[in-house]
Parts: sequence; structure tokens; C-alpha cells
Amino acid sequence: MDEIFKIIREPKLTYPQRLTALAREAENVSPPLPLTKEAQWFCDQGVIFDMGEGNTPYRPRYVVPDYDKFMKAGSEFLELNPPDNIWDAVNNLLILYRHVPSVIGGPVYIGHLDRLLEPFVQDEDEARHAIRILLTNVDRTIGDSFCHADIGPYDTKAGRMILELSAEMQRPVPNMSLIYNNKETTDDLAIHAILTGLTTAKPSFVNDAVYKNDWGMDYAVVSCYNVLPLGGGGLTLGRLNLKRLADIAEDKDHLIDRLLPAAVAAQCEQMDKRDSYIIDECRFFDHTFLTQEGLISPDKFVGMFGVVGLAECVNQTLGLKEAEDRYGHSEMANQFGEKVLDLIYQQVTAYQPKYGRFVMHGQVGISTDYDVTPNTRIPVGEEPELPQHLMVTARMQKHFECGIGELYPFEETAKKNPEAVLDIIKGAFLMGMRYFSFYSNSSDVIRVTGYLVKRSDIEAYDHGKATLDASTELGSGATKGLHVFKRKLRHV
Amino acid sequence: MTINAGKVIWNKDKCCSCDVCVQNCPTYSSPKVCYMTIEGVMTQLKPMFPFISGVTASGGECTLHHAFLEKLFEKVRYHQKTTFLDSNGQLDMKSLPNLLAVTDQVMLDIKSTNEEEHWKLTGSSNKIVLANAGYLAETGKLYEIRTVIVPDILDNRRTVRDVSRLLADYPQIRYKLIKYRPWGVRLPLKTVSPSEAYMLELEALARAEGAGQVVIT
Repeated sequence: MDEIFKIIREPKLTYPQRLTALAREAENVSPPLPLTKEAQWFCDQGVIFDMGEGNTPYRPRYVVPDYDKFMKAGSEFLELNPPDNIWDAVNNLLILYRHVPSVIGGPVYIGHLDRLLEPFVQDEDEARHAIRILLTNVDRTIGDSFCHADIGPYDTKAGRMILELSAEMQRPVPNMSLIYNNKETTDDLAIHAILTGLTTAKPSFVNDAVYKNDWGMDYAVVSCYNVLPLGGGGLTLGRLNLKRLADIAEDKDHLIDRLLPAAVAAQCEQMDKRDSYIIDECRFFDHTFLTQEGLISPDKFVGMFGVVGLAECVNQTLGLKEAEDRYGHSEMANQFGEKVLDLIYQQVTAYQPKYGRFVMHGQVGISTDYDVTPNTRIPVGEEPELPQHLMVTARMQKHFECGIGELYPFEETAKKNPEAVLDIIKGAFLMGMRYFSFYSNSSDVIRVTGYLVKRSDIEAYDHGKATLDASTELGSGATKGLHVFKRKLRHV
Repeated sequence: MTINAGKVIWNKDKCCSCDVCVQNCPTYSSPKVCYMTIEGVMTQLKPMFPFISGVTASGGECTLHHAFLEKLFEKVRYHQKTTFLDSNGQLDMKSLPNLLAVTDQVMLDIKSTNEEEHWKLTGSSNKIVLANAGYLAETGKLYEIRTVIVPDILDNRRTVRDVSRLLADYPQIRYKLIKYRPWGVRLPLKTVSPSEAYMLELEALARAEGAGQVVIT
């Protein structure tokens, strides 16, 4: 009850943020789903974590509706006809967004916006006006940087307008990705996207070739950089904290032979039980028009097996102190990191959950993380020279089909040489890097770990003021615990 | 940075690139200069190759080391990367056919098109520089011409006009107008950085006189 009273009186929460917080409390009235003794032990040790999604999950963490289908068919339940002009198109989308469940207050995916809107671009001024309304509405009403829009790989008028408006508006919501493929994306569009990114920290670049190969079907980038099947989504996200595992390991063999397999099994058990609860107990798929109208289908949902803290796990387990020996720098350390990931991948892939399958995700961290580096990243402050940094990053991202990302801040002068940034992205993607985020040291909108915040909002929040964007709170914690303002600046 | 037995020792890991060392040196030398072999340069370049489209040699004046660059560029090209020179054009390019054969394109500094002004500024003639501009443009080896705009000291309008007329026949060649900035120079000149308005005026002049692509930086 204390927590509820705290929420209803907390001055830093806006009304929608307060409702979301109250709903989260309600989810936690019931105790967590029971686990086996061994799995519970890993949970108590902080090795596995259900991401605070709630003890009684009643909807998937991430729902990725097939908006393309919605645009063609309209919706019987929402009493909406298919749009025939840009105003109806924007209005229909904004209405559907209110009905897309997720772990945040609004949708984590709002569509491949350029593809959805391009057919309705006739008068360019009118289209720009309509798209501005869409983006403004999403920013002010969803107010959470885990809300994500996709554009690309093709050059479209709508896509260009979205880039121009994003640079102009300087807002953190929606997060944005450019699906990039060097066969389909022109250099000209890529350069426009890079200049936009150096101004407002979005879009990030998605390695389409790699993800197409993984999914063999339509996929979407949602939330931070999660990659999920279109018309499906992610049921729950569990997270394995490899640093915590290293803390309790007696030595290398104990970690590899005993702890790691047991911890992976524990996380699979927890995810399996929580996924089943959504489907069997809450009957989520039976009770939503999204399923009935074919905008989502249960067989396109997967469980997301998250991983953090590989760097600390490697350095601690091997006792690496000298900079040149540590993870990201020495081949010995990197090989050990790779081995840990290979073992997790084999076990996760072989596991057969009751629903769907489990896919690895490079979790981006939570606001209370302290000295646990997100996913497989090299810790801030220990970054090697850029080529080495890119190569190690690409190499460690191989198994993360459900998305993983690293980010690179550039010195502001990169704006004068966006071609050099594109060369870097092309090279990194050829090496298999999955996702490339970047920003310039001069922009107010910055990427914290995977989501966007405004520096000015963090300052306001730290001075006790409410801000529109719920992610500010997370950003305020992460900027301190993970030293994100101290990332190595890159020059081109 | 330390001085050991009369020799300046530069610590790469501690350097913050402030260049105060250059100002403090009686001959304005940089302690970062070192002797390298072709193999040594290639060892540093190779990890970069996946992430760059090519290599630009700068200076000092890079063409003074043409024999070295010939061999280096040959190796760079073997890795299918482009090769560019950033040159002040003081050496006759016609006399460097072997270097040009392995060079994709040149970025050429033209400080002044006026002989007297050029002498005053650099202590040498601009005849070879201008001849190089024509020769490189004709042979398709000229990527861009650069002029530093220095208010009060140089007749910037004249140089911009003359260069733009030269470029009128080559619309694909870029003309880059660079604002004078009082850092990275031995002794600051008695001038200020040009205003944005002045730069825009020169840009308009360049376009009016025929330059196809003009960039201000």
C-alpha cells in the first residue's frame, strides 16, 4: 500500500505516468509465478531477472501489429474504413496506437511509417503537415522513447519528410531506425539519414542483409533495437546478468561447466512459465481484436532471451587487470567472451518452450544498473581504437537475432563529412554488425543506452520537475551508473 | 612531453592535441613527427581499410615525398582504396608522372592568384601552382581547389574570381572556401575570422564567375 500512496503523491509523475505506475503495482499484488528451487536461487542472486514486467503478465511485452494490413483492410472492431487520403491514414494509425498493448504505456512499434504513408503523399505541403501532426501526437501522447518507427530501405518522399521533420523537431519520441541495405538504400538517402542522426541522434542504421537472413520474413525494429517478426512480437524478456554470474563463480570451470548451463536453464524456465501465463491463464490472444482481425498471430511471437554484462564476466573470470588484456582488447579475452555466447546460444536454441521459441537479445540495461555493461559492449572508458571497437562489436553480435546494438558518438565536425560516417557503417555491416547508432556531441537529444532522451529534460528531472517523456527517469539513472556522457568521441 | 638529453619526447597516450608544444618550440616544430617505413604506415592503415573509402596524403607538403608516396599509394590501391593528395602545388605536377599514375585525385591549395600577393604571403611564385591547377583539371585529376579567406590581409575577391573563372569549364570540380581560423598557425595574423555574410558573398561571386560547386567551411 505504501508504494501506491507514494505513486499517487509523487510530484515528478504526469497523470498518464501515474496511471501506468498504478497499473504496474496492481500486477504485483499477486506473488511471482513459482519457480523450481534452483531457478529461484538464480533469481534471488540477481543472475536472472524478469525485467520487472510484473508478477502476473497479462499481455506480451512487445506487440508488433501488421499495420500494412490494417491500412489495406481498416478495422471492423474500431469501425474504421481503409484510408483514401493522408488525413484518414494518420488518424487511423493514431487510433490503432491506443489499442496496441505493451509493457510501456503505448506501442513500442508504430509502423514502417514511410511505407505506410507514401501511397497517400500527393500534395507535398499537405503530406508534410499531416506527418508533422502524426509525429507530434506520438511524441506528446505516448511520451516514451521505447516507441519506435521504422523507415527505409527505399527512398520515398514520406521517408524524406520524416527525416526533415525529425531534425527540425528535436524530440526523443519516436525512436527511429533506417532499414539499410546497400543494394536498396541509395547513398543519398543514407547521407540524409546520417546528417539527421548527427542533429537529433536518430535514425539508427539496421543491417537489413543480416536480419533478412535471420528471419526470412518481414521483421520490424521496435523499442530500443529489438528485432521481432511483423504481425507478431515478443512475449516476455528475461535477462541473464553475466556479471552477477561471474561474482558467484569460484573459477572459470565452475562458471562454464556448472553455473552457466544452470542459469540459462533457470531463465528459460522463468520465461516459459511467464509466456504460458499470458497465453493459458490470461488468454491474451483470445481476447483481442488484433488476433481476430489478423493484425497479429500467436505463431509469430517469440520469447526474448536477454543478456548483459559479458565484458565484466570475461574480465572478472579471467582476472584481467591490464587494459591490453581486457575484453575488447586481447584475443584471449574475446575468445572467451565468444565461447560464453556460443554456449548460451546452443542451449537457448535447443530449448523447446511451450509457445514459440526463444531468441537471444542483447539487453540494453536498466536505470539501476551499476558497473554492468549492456549486452556485449565494451565498457565506456575502455573503448579501443574505432576499427578494433567495430570489429569486436560485430563479432560479439552474431547470435543476437532478437536485436542488439552499440552506439558511437561523433565529434560535431562529422557533419561536414557524412560520407566518412557512411563508409564506417558500410564496413561495419559487411563485418556483420547488426545495428549502428550514433549521435553528435553537440545535440540535445542523445541516445542513453538504446533509447533517446533530451539532456535538458534530464537536468529538469534532476531538479525535481516532471517531464513529458517517461524515459527521462531511466536516462537520469543510466547517465550516472553507466557514465554515458563519457563515451569515447569519434572523429572522422 | 619531456626533454631527455636535448631530445623532445612526446607521449602519444597523454597528448590532447592542443598544439601548445608547437607554439613553444623555437622553430615551430611538432614533436609528433616521426620516421616511418612504407610497411609501418601500411600496418597502421590496414585495420582502417574496411571502414574507409581511401587515403589522403597531407602535410607539410606531401609531394616533397613523392618517391615514398608512389610506393605507398601503389600498396593502398592494391587494397582497392582511393588515393588523394592534399597539396599546395609548389612542385610541378608534370614532373611527377609516376606519382600521378597512382593518384586518383588532388586537392589543391590556391592561396592567391596575384603573383605579388603570393610572394608576400609565401615567399614564392604562384606560377607553378596555377599551371598545376590547369594541368590537373585538364587531366581529370583535380578533385577540388581550396582557398583560405583571410579578411584585411588578402584580396580575397580577386582570387575567388580568378579561380572560379578557371573552374568554369569544369563544373564537376569543387571550390572550397575556407574561413581563416587563428589556430594551428605559427603566429596569428593581424586579422579576424571572416563573417558568415562575407563568406556567402564570396560564394555568390564564385558561382557568378562560373564555379560549379562551391562549399564554405
